[in-house]
Amino acid sequence: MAQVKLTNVKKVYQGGTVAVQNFNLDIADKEFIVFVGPSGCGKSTTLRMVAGLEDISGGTVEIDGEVVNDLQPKDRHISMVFQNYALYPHLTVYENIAFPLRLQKNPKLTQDEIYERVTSAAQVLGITQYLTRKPKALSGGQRQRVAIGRAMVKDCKVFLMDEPLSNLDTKLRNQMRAEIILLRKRINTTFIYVTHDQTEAMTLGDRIVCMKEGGYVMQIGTPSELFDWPASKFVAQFVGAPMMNTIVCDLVKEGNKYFVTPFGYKLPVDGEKLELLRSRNVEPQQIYLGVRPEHVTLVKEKKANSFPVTIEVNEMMGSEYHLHAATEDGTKLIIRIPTINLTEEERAKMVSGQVINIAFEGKAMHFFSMKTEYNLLTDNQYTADKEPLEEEKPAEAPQVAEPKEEPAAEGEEQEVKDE
Amino acid sequence: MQEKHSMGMAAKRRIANTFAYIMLGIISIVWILPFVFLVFQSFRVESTGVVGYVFPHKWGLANYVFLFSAECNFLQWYFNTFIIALFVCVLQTAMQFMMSYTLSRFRFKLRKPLMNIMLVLGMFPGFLTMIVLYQVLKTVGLTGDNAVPGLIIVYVASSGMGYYVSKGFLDTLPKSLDEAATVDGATKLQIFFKVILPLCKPILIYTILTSFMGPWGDFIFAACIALGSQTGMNVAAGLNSWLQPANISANFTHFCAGGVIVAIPVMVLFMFLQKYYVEGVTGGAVKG
Amino acid sequence: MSNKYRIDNVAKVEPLFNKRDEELAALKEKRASSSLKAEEYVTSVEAVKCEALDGVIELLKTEKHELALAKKDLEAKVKEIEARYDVADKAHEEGSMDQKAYEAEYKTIRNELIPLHKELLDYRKDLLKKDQGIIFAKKDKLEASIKKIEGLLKANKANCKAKEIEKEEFLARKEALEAELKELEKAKAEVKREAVANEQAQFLLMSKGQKFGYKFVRFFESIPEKVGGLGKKIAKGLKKLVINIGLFFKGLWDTFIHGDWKTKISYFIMGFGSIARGQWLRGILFLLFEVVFILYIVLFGGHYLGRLYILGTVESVTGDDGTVVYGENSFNILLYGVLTIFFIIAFAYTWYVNVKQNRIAEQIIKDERKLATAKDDLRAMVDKNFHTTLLALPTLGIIIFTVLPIFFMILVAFTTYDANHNPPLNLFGWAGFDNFAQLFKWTNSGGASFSMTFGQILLWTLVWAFFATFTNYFLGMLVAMLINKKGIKLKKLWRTILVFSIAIPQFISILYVSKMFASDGIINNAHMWIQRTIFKAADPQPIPFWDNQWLARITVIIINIWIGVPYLMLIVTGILMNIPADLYESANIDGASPWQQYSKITLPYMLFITGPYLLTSFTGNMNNFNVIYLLTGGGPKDINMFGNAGKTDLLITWLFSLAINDSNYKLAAVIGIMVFIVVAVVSLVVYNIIPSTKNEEEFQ
Repeated sequence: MAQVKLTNVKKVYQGGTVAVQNFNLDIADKEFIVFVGPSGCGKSTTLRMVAGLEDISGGTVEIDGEVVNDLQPKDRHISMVFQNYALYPHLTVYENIAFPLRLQKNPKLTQDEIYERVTSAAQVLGITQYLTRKPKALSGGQRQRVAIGRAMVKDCKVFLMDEPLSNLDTKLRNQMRAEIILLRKRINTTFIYVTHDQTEAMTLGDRIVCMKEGGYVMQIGTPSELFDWPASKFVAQFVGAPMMNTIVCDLVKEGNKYFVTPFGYKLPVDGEKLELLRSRNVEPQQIYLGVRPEHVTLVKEKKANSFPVTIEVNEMMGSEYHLHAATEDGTKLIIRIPTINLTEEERAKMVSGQVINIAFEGKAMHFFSMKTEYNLLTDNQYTADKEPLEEEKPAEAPQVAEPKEEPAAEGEEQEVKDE
Repeated sequence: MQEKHSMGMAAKRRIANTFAYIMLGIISIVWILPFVFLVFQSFRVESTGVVGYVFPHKWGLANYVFLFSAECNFLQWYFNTFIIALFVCVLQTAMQFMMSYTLSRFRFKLRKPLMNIMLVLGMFPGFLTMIVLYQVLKTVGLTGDNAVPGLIIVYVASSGMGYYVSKGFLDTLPKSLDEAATVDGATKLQIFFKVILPLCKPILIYTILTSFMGPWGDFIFAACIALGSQTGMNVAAGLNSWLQPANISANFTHFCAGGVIVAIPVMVLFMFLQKYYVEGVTGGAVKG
Repeated sequence: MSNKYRIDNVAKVEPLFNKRDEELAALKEKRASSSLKAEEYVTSVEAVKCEALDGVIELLKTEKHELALAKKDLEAKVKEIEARYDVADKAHEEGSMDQKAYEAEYKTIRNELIPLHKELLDYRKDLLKKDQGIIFAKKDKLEASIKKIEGLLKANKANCKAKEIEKEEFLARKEALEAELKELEKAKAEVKREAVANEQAQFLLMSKGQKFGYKFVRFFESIPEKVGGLGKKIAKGLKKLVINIGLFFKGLWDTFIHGDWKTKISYFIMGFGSIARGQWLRGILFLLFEVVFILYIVLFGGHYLGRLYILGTVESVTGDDGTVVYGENSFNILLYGVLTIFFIIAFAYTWYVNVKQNRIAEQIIKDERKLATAKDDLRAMVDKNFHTTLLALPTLGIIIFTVLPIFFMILVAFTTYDANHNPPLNLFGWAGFDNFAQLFKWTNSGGASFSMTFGQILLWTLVWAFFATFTNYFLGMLVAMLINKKGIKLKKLWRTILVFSIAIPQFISILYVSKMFASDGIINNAHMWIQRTIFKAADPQPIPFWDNQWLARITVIIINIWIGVPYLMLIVTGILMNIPADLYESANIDGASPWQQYSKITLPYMLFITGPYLLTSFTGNMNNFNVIYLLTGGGPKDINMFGNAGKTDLLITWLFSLAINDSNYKLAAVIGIMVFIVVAVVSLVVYNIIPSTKNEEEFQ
């Protein structure tokens, strides 16, 4: 039950690799925050810095208004669930869950009290019948529950979860995901949850922190913000499945109107997006045009603003088709079409080699600058966090008294190696 | 060709397996036979020297009786070795485990240098140190008749250097166990005793077993430290002294009987704990 | 200088720089004769520099232009050739070209293209260089301009504001240039990647022989680079070391100067600061250590340390009645001298820690944080500093019982310590490198030369280690595979029989086996019986297992197989079980014969996994004292060898007999050091060759 505040948190490993760049985040009390990103983006490292398992190279972490940088993990009032469960193999389930309680030198925690807490946690998690077993005798899902139970029994201010579901198979993962939502209602504390799975992030998080390789925060926002207003091409492509199509084209301005030019066609921008382009007075430029597969519509007859594509592969997913198609100039697109809207005849046509007509929905188009890959229509406060590349080599920094020729000399070395 | 093929995999395999059985039979005989001979010789009573035949002309227990008689120090040696082995297996295991635990579970500034230094030290032949250690122990009065405590110290003191095998085992225990315990509020000491130590049973038994067996076989340090004393020697040094050219003709069968008596307890222990030994040896080699 | 800007046409740039230098010299003279104000001087100097740089940039631009033109030509050529792909494609599609010709055509085109691509890459590299040069030049010019403006600002305060703005603009431009430079670096990386890809493509197209030749050449090409890299690393390390030492002393000095009085006193009375600040536990420990140290030096160590340089002068005297009046003991002087040196090092380190503690404590007080109390210190011992607590005893044991003796024996190698200089009756002294010089003296007037014997024994040691390691390795593997063969029953029994032989203390089995091979042993008895009864030999002779040098050497290797195979069997069995079964299954489907399965799957896997083990087992066998000493005692002895060495003596057993039988400690120490060097070199070389570079973090 506490706010967590990360201010300019940074992680630099020995040897100078930066795992987390300036990380700023205010987590409200009882909020469920998800860190999401591909592996190596520093999300786990950030979580571990909050937990105290990793030293903080710069900035501060506050829990409940107290700076905890120098506090031991046990003094931070946190609980944590690990990816590989980290159950103590030599202890029974009961002893595993009771372990953190027994270590506390709290006179109130009598044997009875501990029994009470462990059994009630086991009840909640549905593992009562396994209390006397060793972890080895449990299935993956059961072990995960034990791990959660062990984290639950402690009175904690912040509940940390490090990819808790990634070792489970798909079915179990979906089930546990739903259970975590229930658990959250029951425990009702601040959660920080790390995952590389965007579905988990979207379904669980009140807010999501999307990170990119090298430890950069790309966007912080609610799931719908990330989906509808991705701050950059990276976020746009990371959130949503299948991945968003990005098409290189020009943004053209004619008088008061804006057009985009995918595959040589000229499509007008309308609705809210047009208003925003106008109000921001966006310069015409080369852009990535982003269109989500589900926002591509099938057009029965060729008409204005639609264009033909050739189907290459058709993936039948049951409720929908994922079509991999190529336009006339060879650009690859992914199109997602609900099966329910198609007649039997039309379905028969969805085969490789067939040409179909498609159109883009104007309100669902996204525009990313070619240069920076940032969304032209959102405020990219996260760009400020991006440090210049030089910062990545602090190891070199102390040698100030180098002669001026140094850059040239170093360039020379590389040249030699090149040849 | 076709003919041969139709002869069938089964027949081919049968031939191969028969060949394998013959090989294994020969191997078993070659490996077992010397010990059988040793046992036979220990029951030979018609003479005490080296002879060229296997089966004693006259069987008897005279050699064993001699070992337990007052005219021979064998019991003293045996007792010495047992005491040494007992202390060494406890202390050496503790030292080795402390070292390997630290090197495996902690990351501190001097870790890599420490490991490198030990690697380099290990490249010096161990005998170099013996000359000095003998002199030092002599000044303290722990040589000759008092060799037992001296030997224990020598065996135990540097045993931290043999940390490799247990470290290899400890490295396989997931680090998240330590981390989970840290988050649960355990101190480093508590993690050591309550989390990691209970998981190390196999490697602890391996270490105890090898360090218990070590003193039974070592005769060179023992002979040097106990130099000039009959009662300070361990079994190995004592038995070895019986095989010196001057003593061999009077003592060869005694040596055989002594060998049997030394081998029995070690072998029994070994057979019981074989599983752990195999695990340790295999793990140690794979991890280098 | 011109190199910095990557100018190819040195002839053209030289006059530019010469002109600049002349002008600069003139300015300097003017300044010296004080006909020029300081500010004016600066501005003029920078103006001159700017002018020269302008010239440089111009030059670079022309050069870049020329390059770009040439590159364009080349690109056109490449395109022309690439067009032939399309022609071939078309012909193939239409059917006017068969598959074989089509593929051949593709290959010829590729082969033609590769050198062109390479050339293209070179051009791109050169262009990049020019870009870099231009950026450097521009940057330098900007810096010069900024300096010029600063000079002007100083000279002319009135015009201040305008210039200030100009300066800002310059700074912005500089930033832009830096960004450009970064882009350039990226482009460079790109080109580098492309170069690698190009090389790979070229490699893939080569025939087997060409590939081998290529690798061979590349290997030797890479040597200077590697050596250079190592040299650079060492140089960098040294530089860092020197800087760190400098910083270390500076830190000590600064702490003293800026520290409070408690800190200052702590420089002389250790722990004073800690006690004064309430950290009495560590303070008292520091103080206690200092007291003990001073007492030790004064009462004991100081004397020995003082005599270390000569190792004693007072001889022992034996009276007529046989009583001995002992003089100085060189051994003790050396030993306690070394001990004292160790003690001093420990003291110096503790003293440094004590000073550091003060520095840290002052900082903590300044930050208004809480100092660790004695209770905190105790708690840290089992928590934060638990590793120190755990390491204390093992490390201390190693220092006293391994490091100290080894250090001592290394020193003995530089003394005259032998049977004739044997304390306490005699003194020994320093001998410098005399003992090592013996390793290189090929003749010895007094009999067999040390160096010859050393060479022979070293050679045998290496041969022995090689055979002992690999016979065990392969035979152990064979036995393990036999036992694990599909369809073999009683696996556990076979294994137990072999393991049985490990359980029996080695000295018993080895000693007994050695007697079995003696001239009156069981083997020879059986041999003679066979000779007599089957071959009807009249006077059969025993086989001289231990008396013929070659026979003895072969016998020890064979008996070593008997000793070592069970261990190997265990190890190999463990690894065999870990080889993924699907490897064999897929090999079976591909139709690999058992031998192919062994040579292509089992053996490589095994060698990869056991690489480090093979190394340690090789060095272990080099020092395999037990087997040799118990089997042969080094024999057969050879009077033509130094120090009563035998034909099966290893360095380690020879060392032993020199020290124990001959009391020739100095040479034993020399051999010990040589053993170390050989082991270290072998380890270093092999470790760099074997592929299984261990990553210890990988498993956690």
